[in-house]
Amino acid sequence: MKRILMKGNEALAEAAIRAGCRAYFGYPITPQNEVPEYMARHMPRAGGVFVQAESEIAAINMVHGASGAGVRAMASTSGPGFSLMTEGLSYMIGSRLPGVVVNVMRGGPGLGNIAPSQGDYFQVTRGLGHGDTHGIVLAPSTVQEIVDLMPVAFELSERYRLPVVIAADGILGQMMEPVTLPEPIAPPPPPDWATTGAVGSPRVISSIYLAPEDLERHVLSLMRTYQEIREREQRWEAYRADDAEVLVVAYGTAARVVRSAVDRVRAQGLAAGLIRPITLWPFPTTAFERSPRRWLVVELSAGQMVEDVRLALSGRAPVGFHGRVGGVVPSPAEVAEAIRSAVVGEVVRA
Amino acid sequence: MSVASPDAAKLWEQNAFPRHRIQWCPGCGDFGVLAALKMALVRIGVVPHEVLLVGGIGCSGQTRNYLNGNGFHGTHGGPLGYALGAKMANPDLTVIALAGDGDTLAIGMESFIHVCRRDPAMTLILMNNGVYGLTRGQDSPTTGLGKVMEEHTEEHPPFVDPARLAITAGATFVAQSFSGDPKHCAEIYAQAFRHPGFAMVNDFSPCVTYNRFNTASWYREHSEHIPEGHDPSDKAAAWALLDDFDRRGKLPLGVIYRAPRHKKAHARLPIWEEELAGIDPGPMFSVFR
Ligand SMILES: Cc1ncc(C[n+]2csc(CCOP(=O)(O)OP(=O)(O)O)c2C)c(N)n1
Ligand code: SF4
Ligand SMILES: [Mg+2]
Repeated sequence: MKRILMKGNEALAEAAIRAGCRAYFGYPITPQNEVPEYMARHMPRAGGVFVQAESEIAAINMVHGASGAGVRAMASTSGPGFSLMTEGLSYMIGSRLPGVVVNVMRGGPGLGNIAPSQGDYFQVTRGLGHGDTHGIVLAPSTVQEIVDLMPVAFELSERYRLPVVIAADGILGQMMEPVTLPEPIAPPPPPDWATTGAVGSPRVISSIYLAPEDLERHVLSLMRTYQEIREREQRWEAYRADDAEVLVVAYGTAARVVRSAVDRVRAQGLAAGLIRPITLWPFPTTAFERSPRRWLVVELSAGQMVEDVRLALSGRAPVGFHGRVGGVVPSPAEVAEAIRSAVVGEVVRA
Repeated sequence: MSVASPDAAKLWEQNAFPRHRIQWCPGCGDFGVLAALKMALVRIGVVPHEVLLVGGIGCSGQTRNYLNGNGFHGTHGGPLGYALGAKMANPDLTVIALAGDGDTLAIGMESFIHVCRRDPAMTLILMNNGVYGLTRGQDSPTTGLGKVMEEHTEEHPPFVDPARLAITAGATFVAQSFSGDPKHCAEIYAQAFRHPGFAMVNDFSPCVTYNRFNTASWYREHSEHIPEGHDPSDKAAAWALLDDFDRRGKLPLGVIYRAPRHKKAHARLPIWEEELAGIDPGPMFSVFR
């Protein structure tokens, strides 16, 4: 298979088209602008549609409409735009519709900056709009993994009829790495609930259930789906973890830094390892069944995933935290030092 | 408002935030807007603490970083909402929103329409370059100005005309200027600041980096000052003027429409100490006794 050099944002756009996505809606925002730019150029060639919407609210609503019409649809954005999309995501979840939204995370809160960050962790794992919402959240850590997860995102989204979020960050979106692209697949036919002009029974896309009993039934069915996802879809990668006496938990770009730091401290005789969640929701709790002496969580945020790690461990072992915020990415040396100190005592730096 | 003083000019010349190095590309039209703003603020005789500059998110909104005065940066698309909130909370402020065509007419379109119809006494300087400058060159709602209708497609729909839209939506002062002529801009801005309702100035401010079609020389060639005889208080004349300029492929520069005021002065609850001082709170509490 041919390996080519591609920017993360472009690779993800190409991978989406190859995965049968035929409708892309977006609004410019750094650091993800290469996604809509690529889509504008290449989507029409694949027979798909591209619209630069008038806002992220409009973009997610277009995804909602296209997905309701039975087409593989997606949007991409970054923090401030993702906040605007959460309204639409809640409605998509309420309407049980698939769709993929990529959040190339940048520094927040507010306008923050355009540097890489993981500060939207709580938002993507807990805050997909109002109501009892969840969607599967995939967190790639290389450009190749973005490409590999794209078809997975569409499949999971359709299997469970819920939107899937891909949580990337400014570094992954902007960096170039060699990738192998999969062969393109033909878009699947519209599902039997899509508003394709049904013969016989009318098809309606809606999230409104006025009677409390009806809405309860609807939400309970959503909760059963959430439970099924928790049981079946946890994904993570373990690196040098089997004999580790200190396990570091990190995802995305932060996990790449941690991987180098683990090698460093291993070379100095400290048995460290890495647990890298690939699904942020469902959180891969199964990866936390072993208890080494110490845990350390490294994030490009102010201590968000660390809460999930503490929940997963239920107090079985102490959990330290090392986070950098504002778009600052720690060096492997800095993280190695944090791992060493974690064994001595807890370090909190945010 | 204080009277014009020689010091005012000095105050507006100073940059309140020297940490903000100017980040515009050399030749950006927004330099002209900045120069014109300083002139207009001096002309109406306000000093920085009396002014609130609400910047949009875009190259245009950065204007606010390069000027003295109270400042505000919020969301992309939000400036008119912030400006309205601030003006209602503190009516003594001279409130000026400085925002781009993307900010105002795409993501901020709903605020634009509704601020026009609410008609608060504040100004929007719409720095219109026909492109998303800050995010590097995507189409904006005003992209395509000067192109013939037949060239538009579903992906590249016809452009939005903020002047017509503002009049339709109820704005009471609608003007256009070209940042390549800061002196004329300053004249228009000063009138806008003094207007007792919502003033919208559509300022053509070329983006030299990403809009290679609507360049400064293109604007020069395709714009004309509004003739002396135009009566801006006549709405029908304003429409006729826009139609006439359209037919001739020109952009009118100057005040297109200025409504004769007929709105009731707006009422608000007393919130400041001096205002409360004149009020006897006794009766308010009588029901609790
Ligand atoms: C919710 C949200 N979406 C997108 C952006 C990214 N963004 C920043 S400025 C801008 C457009 C700027 O264009 P315009 O308003 O015309 O201003 P100009 O730079 O041309 O002066 C965009 C899309 C953002 N900051 N927030
Ligand atoms: S990109 Fe365009 S609008 Fe922005 S500073 Fe440069 S010339 Fe001005
Ligand atoms: Mg613009």
